[in-house]
Amino acid sequence: MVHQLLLVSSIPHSKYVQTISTLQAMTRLLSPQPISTYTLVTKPSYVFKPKFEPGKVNQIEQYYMKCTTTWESGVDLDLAIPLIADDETSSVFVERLFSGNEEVERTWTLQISDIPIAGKQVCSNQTIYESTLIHAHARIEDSEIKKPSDIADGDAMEIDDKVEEPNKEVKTDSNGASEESSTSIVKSHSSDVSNDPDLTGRKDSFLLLLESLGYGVVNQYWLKGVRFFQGDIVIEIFKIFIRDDNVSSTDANNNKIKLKLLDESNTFQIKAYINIPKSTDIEQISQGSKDLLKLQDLLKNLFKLEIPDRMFMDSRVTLKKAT
Amino acid sequence: MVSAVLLIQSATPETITQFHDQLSNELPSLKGKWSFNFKIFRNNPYSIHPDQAETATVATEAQFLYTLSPSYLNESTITLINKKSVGVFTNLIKEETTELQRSHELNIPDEHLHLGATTGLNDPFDFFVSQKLESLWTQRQLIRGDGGQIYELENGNLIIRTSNVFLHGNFRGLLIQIELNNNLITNIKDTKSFKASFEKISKKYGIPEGDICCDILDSKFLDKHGDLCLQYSEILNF
Amino acid sequence: MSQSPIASRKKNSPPSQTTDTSQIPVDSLETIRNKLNQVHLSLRKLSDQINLHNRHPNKVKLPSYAHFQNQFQVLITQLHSIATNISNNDELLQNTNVYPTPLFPTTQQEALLTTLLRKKALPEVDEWTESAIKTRDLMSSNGTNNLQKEDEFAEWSFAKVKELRDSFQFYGFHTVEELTYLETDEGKREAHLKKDAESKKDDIELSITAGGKKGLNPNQVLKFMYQGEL
Repeated sequence: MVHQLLLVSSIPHSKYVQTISTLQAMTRLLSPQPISTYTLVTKPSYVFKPKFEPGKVNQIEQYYMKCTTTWESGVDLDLAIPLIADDETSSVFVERLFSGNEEVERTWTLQISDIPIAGKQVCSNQTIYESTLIHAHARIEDSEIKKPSDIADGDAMEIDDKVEEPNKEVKTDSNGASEESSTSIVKSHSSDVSNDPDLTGRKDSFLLLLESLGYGVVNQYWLKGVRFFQGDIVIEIFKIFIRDDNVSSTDANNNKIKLKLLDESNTFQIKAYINIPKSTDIEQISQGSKDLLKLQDLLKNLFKLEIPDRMFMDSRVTLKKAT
Repeated sequence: MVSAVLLIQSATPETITQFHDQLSNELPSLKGKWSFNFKIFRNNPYSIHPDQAETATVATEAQFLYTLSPSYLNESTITLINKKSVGVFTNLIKEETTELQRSHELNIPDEHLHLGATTGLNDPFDFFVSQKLESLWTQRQLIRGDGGQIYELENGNLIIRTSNVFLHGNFRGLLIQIELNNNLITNIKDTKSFKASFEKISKKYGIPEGDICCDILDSKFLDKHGDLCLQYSEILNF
Repeated sequence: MSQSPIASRKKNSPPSQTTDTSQIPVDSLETIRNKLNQVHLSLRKLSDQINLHNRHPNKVKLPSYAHFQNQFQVLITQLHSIATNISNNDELLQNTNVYPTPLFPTTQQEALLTTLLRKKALPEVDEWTESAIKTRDLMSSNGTNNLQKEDEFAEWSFAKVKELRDSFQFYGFHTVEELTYLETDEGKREAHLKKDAESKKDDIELSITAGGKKGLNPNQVLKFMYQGEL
């Protein structure tokens, strides 16, 4: 459980170099830590219909969950170079995950956060829960292994296609009607790439686990940035990439996914936060808030750190969305 | 390594001390004490498959999620869902384990923290489920293992762990966990032969009679932690 | 200044046995005497202060600079008023002769009488007068002493600058030379290049921001990160 104090800001691309230099001088950190992650945004695939009992308030919520792993090839990406949509030379490609080509098993961190505390605050106060998976495994019956080869290529892409049309995928699940058949569909995604059926079970067991847990992927993003440390405060400057579906046939590369910026204006997002291990540690929380305010004042001429709107950080699934 | 778990439901204090004495005659190296937590979660009946959302008010299928946290796997939890999917979760980051000067087989790679995928402040998975996945899973049973002993035999090729099992505070029997290195298995490729190997060991060391389980999830892929969790779920089924 | 009775009389007035004091310009003389007395007092006070410090340098401090300045101001005012008084009574004083009345005990007070009747200045006073005149001549020959002339010069300079300024017209930021250079081919090329570079910079900025798009608000980005949609 993490209690996070947070302030946010953004800067145009043209201010990146200046901002980095200033933060380098301020934090005396000449080479900031690179951050590079790949995240699946998931939400429960079941409809939650709690029994309505008069006088009893339903406290149980459904939450979106982030599943984050490292994006190794993103480390080499130079953020000082802007990404221009139509410029082929600056295109960013990533290796497909879940393709069964990886040597080492991926580590995934599952994260669910509460909506930040309401009321007048000097910074965002939020509780974050996370747990990290270092290994996944699944039972695969013989009958299922043989299935994938029969499935046509178009259907058997991998997670990324599934992500594009989450609704369609849900339907596929429902047509299958039973747990088992939907499982086999997921499995087919990777087995198509890896011809050795023996490897199938191991490679995409994370997705199977996620599905068994009751979650389905709704979107994905890649995050790339740098990180500075000032006392307990972490300052992150980053950009978010999403899958670019406008891939011309010339640069279509079977094993790579083309990326584009979520924010095509090349704007950088900034987060300044302090993570406190216990939300009961009032002393540390108030000290942390003070430190953040000090930083806000110190940097006010560089960028304006502001309190994010808690409503935008709500990871509860509203009933309307579930239907 | 292959494992088997058995539960002696009718165990009395005498059977426990007797077994302990018997093992001591084999001059095992004692590897200290251990304990475990085993939790059983059932699917929240109000979470309904989208197909039936219109018609049903409660879910028709029963699903189960198990979590096993043995103390010898520091700050780690194994989970098994519907006896099908396995996940191993841990809170320790590799660089922390070296700081603590303890070696752990389970840890999060340093890169995962440094590249920003985790805050480094992880919660145990069972806690995560009970706090934030309540809409999907509700905890039904908590089984605790206390006063456990670890014996190492056959030059480290055989590990026997014993533990008293309590369900909601009531004693429910003696749990014995046997771990065999692959070289003691007659045929590692043939998963059906495992049972025979364990029975041989049981006989040799006078392990009391009880429900033994050496099931595995996938005959093509042995998974040390996943298979162990499956065996717990079969045995601790009260 | 002198306490002894002084009799004066116009040259042409007939001498009489009884002293006729009505002809004596008592008022004027009294004013001058008072003024001189004031100056005398001021100077003595100042000199006492200085001397006291010189005698006991540790005990008594020298008057402050501001004090001197004030005293000096006072002295100047006093001297100025004497000078005015004297020059106002110029004619009278020029034509006045001083002599003792028969009642004056000439023989007993001979020393005093000669002092009182003395007309010639003391040699040191002559020296002062002479050096003062010399300094004045010297300064005026250098032209530095003529304040009026200096004022006149300043005024002339100001007028001249104004006049010069009015004969020019000021537009833009270029000199005539620069403007004519810009008209040449080379100048035109240079200006063109500059303009190109500028527009290129704008273009780059425009393409970076995908056509001048406004960046996403951090809140929107957070929402995407939390719920997977914008």
